[in-house]
Amino acid sequence: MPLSFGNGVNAIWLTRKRDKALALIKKWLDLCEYRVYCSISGGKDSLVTAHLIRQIYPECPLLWVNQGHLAEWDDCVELLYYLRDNLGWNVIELCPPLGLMQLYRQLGMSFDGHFTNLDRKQCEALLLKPLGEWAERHGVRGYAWGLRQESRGRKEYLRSKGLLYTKTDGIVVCSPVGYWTTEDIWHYIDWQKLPYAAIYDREGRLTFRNGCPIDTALSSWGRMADLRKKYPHIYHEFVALFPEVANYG
Amino acid sequence: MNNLHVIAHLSTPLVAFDDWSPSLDALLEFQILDRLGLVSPNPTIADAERVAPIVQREMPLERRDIDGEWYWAVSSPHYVLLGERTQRYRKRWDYHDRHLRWGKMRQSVDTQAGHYKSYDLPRYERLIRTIHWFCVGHREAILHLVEGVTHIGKKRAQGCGQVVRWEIEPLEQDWHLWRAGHLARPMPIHLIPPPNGASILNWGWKPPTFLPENKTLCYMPTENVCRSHLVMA
Repeated sequence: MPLSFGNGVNAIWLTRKRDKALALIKKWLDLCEYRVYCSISGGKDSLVTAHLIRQIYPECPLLWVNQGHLAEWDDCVELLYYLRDNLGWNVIELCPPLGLMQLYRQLGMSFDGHFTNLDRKQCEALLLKPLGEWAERHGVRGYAWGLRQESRGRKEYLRSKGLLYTKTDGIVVCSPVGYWTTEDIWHYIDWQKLPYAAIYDREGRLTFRNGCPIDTALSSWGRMADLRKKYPHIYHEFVALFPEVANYG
Repeated sequence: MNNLHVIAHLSTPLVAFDDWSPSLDALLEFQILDRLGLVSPNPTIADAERVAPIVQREMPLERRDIDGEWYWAVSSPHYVLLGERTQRYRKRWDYHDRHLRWGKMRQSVDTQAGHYKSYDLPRYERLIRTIHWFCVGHREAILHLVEGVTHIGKKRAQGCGQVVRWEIEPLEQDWHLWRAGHLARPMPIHLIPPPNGASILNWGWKPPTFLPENKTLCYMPTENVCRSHLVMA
């Protein structure tokens, strides 16, 4: 089953955190006069963010950038279609002109073990450009995302910018779940009985992070080996496209 | 050519990513080429084409044909999986090595790429007592080739997959393709009727598996690994 559902266990201790997030969202919406969008990926954090925003602004556009074949987990794609078709969430699918595989062909792959300029270029073409173009077309004044302080970089970002931050171009960025822990996110999903991608149950709720299944930058740290062991159909399809990757499996 | 049951007795865990490795036909092919000094560390398609006639001549397995497609008559490995665990192997530049003397020259070491590149990779170990293959071939010739094989699977240099003994027994039935009604080896989906419960994967179904023409959508065996005794480590 590609979808799982929160088990309904009550989490009233989250009420304060939820109310704080809702107040922040209200302030952000007022600041931007409801000309906003929320980025959604099919992962747990953006799911909770979108659910919180919809409590105040149910028609909020939820932008999902479909990065193309082999670049999204099937379960996450299934979840996004479920939210759109069955629950009536305003999920808008954006498709960049070149998917991840085409970008790998055009720009090459990074095997450096960390985020490089090449990754930055691919991120720009895959995510930032389609989102920026959509925002420009629709006169957007702010966006929200499911950024949390999971890593040192994100922690420092949130500490320096805060949960509500106005960029130099005037766009207001809102991180409603910025200070939530991973446990808080799962308690909320269970409490609200939200649907979520079943891959979290298979890979571990506390450890799995949604992202592109194929991450060549982390191949030195076993990402390709893990893919080969756990998802051979994705690995073999990828190797058929790029045979040199087999050296890292 | 007789129906045979090839058994490898292991003394250390096997490292494999999937349930269909190691394949006996690939192992025999490597042994044939190794004995002739024709093994290439990074074989190209041209290398594979050059040695193909030699392999065809020397291979002690029966060559079978289905609808004009040939393959070696050997099953996937069959075994009882007793335990599974993931170890890691790592490489790091030793920053604390006090014996290094650079002299007056300033040296730089790149740990992101090249010879000193760091890594931290998983090693998926399977605890198995014996691996069984079912094939049709020449017993003595197969035994002669496999006797020199001391380790199988991945990470042999780290001591994994050590074979203490090879055994080859005659069999009454030919189990290389079907065994007790279950598919025993990967087969292209256009060559056989759909087996019960088989999964489909893009797979290199005959050696050399890296050749694009040997990769195709295959029905994969699902009953060749018995997990009923599995103990998670």
